[in-house]
Amino acid sequence: MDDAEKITLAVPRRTQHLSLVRKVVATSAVEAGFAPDEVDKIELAVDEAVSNAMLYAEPTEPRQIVVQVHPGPERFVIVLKDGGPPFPFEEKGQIVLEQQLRSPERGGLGIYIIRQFMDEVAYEYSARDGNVITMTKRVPAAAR
Amino acid sequence: MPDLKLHQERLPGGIAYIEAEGFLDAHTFEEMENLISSVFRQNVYKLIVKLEKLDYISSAGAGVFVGAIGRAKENRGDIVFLKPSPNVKEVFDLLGLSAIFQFADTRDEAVTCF
Repeated sequence: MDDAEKITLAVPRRTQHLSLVRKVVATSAVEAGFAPDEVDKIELAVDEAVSNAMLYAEPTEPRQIVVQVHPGPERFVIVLKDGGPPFPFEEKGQIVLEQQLRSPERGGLGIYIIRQFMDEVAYEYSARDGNVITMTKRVPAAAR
Repeated sequence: MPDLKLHQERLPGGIAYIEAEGFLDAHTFEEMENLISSVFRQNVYKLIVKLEKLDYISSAGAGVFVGAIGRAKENRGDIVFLKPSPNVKEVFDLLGLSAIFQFADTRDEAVTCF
């Protein structure tokens, strides 16, 4: 990924800043050449990841989370780093939609949306960055 | 402008009519949750929710309705969505909510759904 084109956003871990994150991501996706419905999907997927990081954080976790946008020519990549303790991302994402809709537990639906709307989703944990979610959408050939 | 604007009125037949405008996300979902709870506390379980001016919904917002429809149906009520915007409808479709909830194009049609 070309770091010269990278956009980095560090936001307080408060949901009032979600709309700011959405605006930055959506604007970048438009500039990358995605059609409006694809922009909506990218915006929602990132919102879900950031919402989870904000809503399910422990009080002791860092007060800021970092969102990086890498608008490459072929791949539009968004990386979320929350600095928090490990989160069972893979496990939470293994939902049966019908059961989840009848369950009072929340959080799994967001991961389901991320997986449905992005082409690739990778999760890793590191002591330095905490939970790192990398979401990738292939840039349409016509926009390259 | 607030992120989420809610307007509520009561229709004949014990129906609550709610109009939502703006963004229903992890920041605003509690406002919708609180409004629906207050409607339920008045023993009103038939809800029409107009979504024509709702520009955006995330799973936190959709989860409010998922959480509420069970209680509405237990009390012989329901939740009917009026004119969801295309991007909101797309999220409902993705989450399988379109099979659980009823949709209407006009208020008169929505009233007949109960």
